[in-house]
Amino acid sequence: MNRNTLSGVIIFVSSLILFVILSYIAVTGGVGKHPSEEINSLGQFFVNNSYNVFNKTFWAGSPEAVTSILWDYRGFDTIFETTVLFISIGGALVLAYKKINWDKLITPLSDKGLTLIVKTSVKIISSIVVLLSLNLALRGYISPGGGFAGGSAYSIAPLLLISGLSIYYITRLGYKLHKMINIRTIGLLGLSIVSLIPLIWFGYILQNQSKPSTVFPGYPVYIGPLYLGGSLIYLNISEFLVVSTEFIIIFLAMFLLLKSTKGEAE
Amino acid sequence: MKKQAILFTLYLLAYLLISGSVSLTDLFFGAIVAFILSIITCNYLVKDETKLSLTRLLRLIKYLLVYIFVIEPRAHLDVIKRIITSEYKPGIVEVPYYVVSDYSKTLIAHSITNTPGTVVVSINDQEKKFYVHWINVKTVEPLKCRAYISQYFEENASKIFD
Repeated sequence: MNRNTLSGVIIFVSSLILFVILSYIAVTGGVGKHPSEEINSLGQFFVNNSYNVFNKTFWAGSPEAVTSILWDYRGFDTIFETTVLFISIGGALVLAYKKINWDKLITPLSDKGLTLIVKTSVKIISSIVVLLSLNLALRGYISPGGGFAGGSAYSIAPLLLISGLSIYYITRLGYKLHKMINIRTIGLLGLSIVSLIPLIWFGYILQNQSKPSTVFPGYPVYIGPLYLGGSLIYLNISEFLVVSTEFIIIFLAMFLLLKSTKGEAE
Repeated sequence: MKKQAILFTLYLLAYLLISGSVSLTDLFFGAIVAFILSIITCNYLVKDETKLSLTRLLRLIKYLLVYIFVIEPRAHLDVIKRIITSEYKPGIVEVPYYVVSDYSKTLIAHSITNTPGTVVVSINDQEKKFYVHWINVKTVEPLKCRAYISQYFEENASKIFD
């Protein structure tokens, strides 16, 4: 028996053993209890109240219970999550920014991207990705999705363009580092303004609909025939701006760093 | 203007399709998104707007139907036969093409890659040829390869996009 066959046999036998053990664990309930069919009392509250048009005392104005929890009932959690992302992206930029050699980047190196087939496909796919991500963000209060999901989906489009065409192409399209930082600031401002407006009526921070204990009338759920879902749509759009630009900042910084230090590493 | 209008319609349709509803709110936001996207991407996706016509669209739809229901199953059956009888002779051949626009080249390349048994490995745009990996090399002569692999795709692609 030569060496290749022996290692093949060993790999086969060990994968088989792993498969059997994992199946045994999964079948006998080793990965945890199966979720029960009944909704517990906490879940019952959200299901009953998030879009209860008959009793609007604790409603969020949105049939999407997950988004109502994220931005209304447990809004602070999401705000702090955004802060964590904000700080980590800031730290990454501080580390990367000084190392990017801007002089070297002005004259494009011989960087032509991949073949024509990939380029053409990437152009079509990236525009569809943008459409899909905007749909996720704008419909976040009606169907699953929301600002974070939409923003991270959006960042796929420039990433595709970077890998299919080149980093220079994307800078010419307008994805510049400073511009992205500015748009992120606009998104963060939007988040803070929408969450602080209820304070004018002595309401709560991040309040969406009117509550029995405050005079704040709540963000409009319907404007004319349009269904807007209270403050959720503004928060989703702001979060979309913040998350998408933050991911693009990281991709841009990464690729710019890679390009500008290419010669030095060798 | 024409290309903007066409792109706007396509984007709006796609938006409503993804949403799965035609409520007034979706129409409103879909129109905004489609308008912005069509203005940004019209120059980037469409080079010559005189080529946008209904006949070409119908040809594309007809091509897609023929491709999915006739060419694909035939290629699948051929590969299944080769797997069972283990009768194959793999290799990379040159296939020339004569179409002009980028979209036709892409359509041909994807059509070749998507049929089982053939994969476009690379493209040489100066000499106008694809390098195709073929599961059963019947001939290495470029023009005969073209007749076996990409003739039908090319005729249709030039009718649709050129």
